[in-house]
Amino acid sequence: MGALVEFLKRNQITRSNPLPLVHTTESYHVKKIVASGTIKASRCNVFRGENLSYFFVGRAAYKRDLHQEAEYWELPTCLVFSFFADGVKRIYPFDSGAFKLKRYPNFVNMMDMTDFEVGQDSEAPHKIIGTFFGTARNYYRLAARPREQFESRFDVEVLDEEMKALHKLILTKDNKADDRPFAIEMQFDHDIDLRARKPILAILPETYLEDDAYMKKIEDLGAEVLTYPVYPLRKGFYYYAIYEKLDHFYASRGHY
Amino acid sequence: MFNLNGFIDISSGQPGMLVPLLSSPDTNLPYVQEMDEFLLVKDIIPFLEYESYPIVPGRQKHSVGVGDRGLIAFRSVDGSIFCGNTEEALRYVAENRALLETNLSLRVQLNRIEAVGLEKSYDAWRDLAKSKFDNERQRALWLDSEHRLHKKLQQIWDEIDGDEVKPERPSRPGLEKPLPEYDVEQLLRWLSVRSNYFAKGWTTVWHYVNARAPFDDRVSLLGINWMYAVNEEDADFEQSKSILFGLFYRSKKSKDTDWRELAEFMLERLITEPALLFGFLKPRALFPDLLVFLATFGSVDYVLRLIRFCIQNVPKEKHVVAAMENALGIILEEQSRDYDLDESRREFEATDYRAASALLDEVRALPNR
Repeated sequence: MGALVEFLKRNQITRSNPLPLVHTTESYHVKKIVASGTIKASRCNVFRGENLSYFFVGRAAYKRDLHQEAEYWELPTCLVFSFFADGVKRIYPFDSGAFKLKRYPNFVNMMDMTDFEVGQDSEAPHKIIGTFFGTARNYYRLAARPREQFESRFDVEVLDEEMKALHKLILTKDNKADDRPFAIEMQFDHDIDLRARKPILAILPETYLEDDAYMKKIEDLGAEVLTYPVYPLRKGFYYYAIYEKLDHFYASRGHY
Repeated sequence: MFNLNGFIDISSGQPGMLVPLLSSPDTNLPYVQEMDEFLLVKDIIPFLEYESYPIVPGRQKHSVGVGDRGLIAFRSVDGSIFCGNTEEALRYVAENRALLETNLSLRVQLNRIEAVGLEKSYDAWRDLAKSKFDNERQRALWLDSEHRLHKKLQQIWDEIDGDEVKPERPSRPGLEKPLPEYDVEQLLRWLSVRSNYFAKGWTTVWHYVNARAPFDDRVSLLGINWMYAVNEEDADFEQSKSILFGLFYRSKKSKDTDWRELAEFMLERLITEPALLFGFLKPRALFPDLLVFLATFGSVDYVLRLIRFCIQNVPKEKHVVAAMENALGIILEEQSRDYDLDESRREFEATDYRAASALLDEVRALPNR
């Protein structure tokens, strides 16, 4: 049993409200997803030999953002779904790709990734948020419990180095729109059918509003639409804008 | 300087903003400009995914560099394409206001370029929301979110600017000033420091130097060393694609770099995991460059194994078939080439030659040739 699973079992944790799942990828790719009605599990660079689709709880984390070539330009689109966990293959409290690529500080990366895997416990994301943040809103804003509160409230023993490292990881955040420190990752090894699992929101570049056929398809899926400006063609700006849009959506639709 | 090459048509043929696609005379990479809040060019960075979007050829001549006023491009209401710097864009908007305001979506987008105030912006958002969303709840959500983003713009830019100078994890530690303020020698020194290899901004600096020192072999060597270092960390080629793309182009021009070592390194990875080849299928120019590079510098038997894998598994698009034919041609031609006395000849087995000929026949028989 991994250290995080053991910790979550050992402690009485108030679960947070479930935040939606977010799938973020290049805008052209989402057009294909919407046209086909399926998010396909595709070849994974991290778990080699597996076909996976990735979602993050609440946050618009983008796998490629964490790779070595971090300064590619890109035009993202997000599809947001009500929380689901049926058929989840693995859950991690962070981006597993970033961990494998040693993009996290050494105090986390020196540990064994399997200690952080919480398997297929569908309630694990709410427990993790409850443990480290208290509420879904604090998780989204990366506002962790203060260290003293975290260690006094839970049974954090001397040997719980992994838990202390996870908590410290949240506190080393670079910026609020940067998902790297703590975005709960959920991997699925099967395709997601958008007719059975309808998105509740799509966040698109605003130029797409003129594409009536595309907008109609998104509307037919039942998703609400938010947009972000294309200029000044700045990837960093896009993620901040998407961060604000998601925050607004969660607040106005009662997710927190 | 980078030259305008065309536009990424994210407006799907409708009026709306376009993304200028740039090229450099000394590299083979496509680039996009990133701008700051004042629409000045902050960085010019590679964009390899351009073929996934519709492209409109650029007929106008424009050049742009870091620190310049950025290029603004959009398709107007009458279908014409405008491209120019901020000043020219503002002039165009002023002269064609009546026409431009007939398209609500374009009006909203150009309001951002004009940096109009909240009141005028709100009117435009409200009109657009009314025209695009039938559902009142959705309309209110979109409108409120635009209003909120507008109010937060200054805070967002402050945070973006702040991120760049944060001491804990700067994008380019030790290079806090804009890149044009450093000379190439300083940047080469920075690139060569191994601890910088894993900085987020390493590839940006390499591409910046790559475009400015096209004949300096140290740039190639640094790119190769970086490749080895990041691949030691279990990365795959997908993550170093743009550097490889740049290196392939350099390998055609410079013989003074040990390209064979890089070719062997790549071949070993690709033979072990041939599915990595799929990551080289886009952009279209990358796959031919890869095969030419490997056929020119790599072990023949390995290259032939890869081509065999391609014949069996890779979609036979025209450029893929042409690339395989070209690579096999290079291998066969080398058999009969006269070598210089000081030139080391690659080892060929008679079986390699026969295998290459047979594969070439197979490729030539493919339907998409």
